[in-house]
Amino acid sequence: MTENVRSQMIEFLPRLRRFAYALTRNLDSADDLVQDTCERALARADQWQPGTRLDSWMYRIAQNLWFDQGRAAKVRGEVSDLDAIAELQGSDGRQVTENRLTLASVFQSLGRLPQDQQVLVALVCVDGLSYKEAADTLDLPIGTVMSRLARARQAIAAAMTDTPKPTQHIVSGERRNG
Amino acid sequence: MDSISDEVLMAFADGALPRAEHDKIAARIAAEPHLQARLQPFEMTRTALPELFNDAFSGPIPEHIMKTVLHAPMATATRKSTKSADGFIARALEAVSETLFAPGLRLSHGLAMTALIVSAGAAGWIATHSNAPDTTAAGVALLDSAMIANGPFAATLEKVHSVAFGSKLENGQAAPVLTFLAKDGRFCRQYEMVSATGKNFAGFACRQSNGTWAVQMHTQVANSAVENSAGPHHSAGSGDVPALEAAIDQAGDGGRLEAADETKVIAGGWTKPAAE
Repeated sequence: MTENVRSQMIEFLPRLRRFAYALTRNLDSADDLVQDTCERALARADQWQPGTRLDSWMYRIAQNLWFDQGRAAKVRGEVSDLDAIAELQGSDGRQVTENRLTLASVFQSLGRLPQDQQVLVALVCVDGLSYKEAADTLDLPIGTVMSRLARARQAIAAAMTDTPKPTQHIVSGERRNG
Repeated sequence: MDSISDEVLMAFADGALPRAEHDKIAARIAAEPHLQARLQPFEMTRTALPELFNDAFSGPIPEHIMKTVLHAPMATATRKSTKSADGFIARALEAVSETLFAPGLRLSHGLAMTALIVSAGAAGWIATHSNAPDTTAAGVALLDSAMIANGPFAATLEKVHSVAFGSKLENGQAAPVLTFLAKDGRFCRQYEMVSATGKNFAGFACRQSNGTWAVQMHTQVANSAVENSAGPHHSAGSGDVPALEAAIDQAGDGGRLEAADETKVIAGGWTKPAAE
């Protein structure tokens, strides 16, 4: 049983990292949040009900830590890890530039959303949970999930549509403002 | 005509509507351009967001997070069981090997263990007994006192006949090079392997009563050592890795299984010859 929690947790790590990254938009902050989430989850593993979803439970922990620790406030205003992203995306220069621009606009628009909407975007659009699963995870009515998510996605799409073409030096110009 | 809410358009884009309703909305969208425009943000975010965030996290799980998950104190409501610790580590390694790699990166004859080591950047002993050098190479702590071969590597140790020392291996392959009976009565096999990224390793593992192979020692070998070790004078224990040779000498009862005996033992599922 106890070992089962750890191995389930390991399987869940890639998703948790992506979720944390969607919230923090900074690779180091994301891994800090993942680390803290795992520590807390293990310390409270007796509160988890075997047979229920470990991922939902850990998402809630991660979300609460993120709220509590004000990571959002700390990160807001920065345009995060665009260099790191570029590195990870390999050597196709044009593709990288376009992705960086898109990412920059998505990051900025995400950062402007209310925190509860950011969490929903991370759960549904990034992690791929259904509305129902997200509602269960956050203990919200499904109607609330859908209306918040719809608003959030409209805002993000608007920002993406406004993204300038990659002929300008938008990214390097904005990056160090934080 | 009824207006369609944003939520319904979003659910349509996400394929979350029941079939009948989906078809109804599809017909409306086809007929009404303003609905197409309102649908676009949802379609856009549906496809673009996962891609952006997936790209960002194709790297390995950082080692400190793995350590936390494997070793951080854990509250338990039930009594602890230590009996299946080996099983846990084997499963953990399996899971680790899956999480460490980007989708698409295949280990052709993949070794979860090597993968783990290489990813963690360890260069020294992965050996795990109390007499092992006190090494702090990354990846070692993760494994504590037992490191169990799994996946294809376990199958290799279990089924594959020994090849000559220094045989050419592809990246991500392992091969036994020697089988011997240890003083404690277990069968052990020395192996050579090449990691997915082309680093050479050597070590030996012993078969436990539960049928798993516990790695006793695992060390990175300078690339030239393995390549040059195919000489005819090469002897058991791989002279290019003195510490490995010494460890095997210490563990073994001095003899190695000849090819015919090895074949018999493999075929017999590693049961000991009755005569001995």
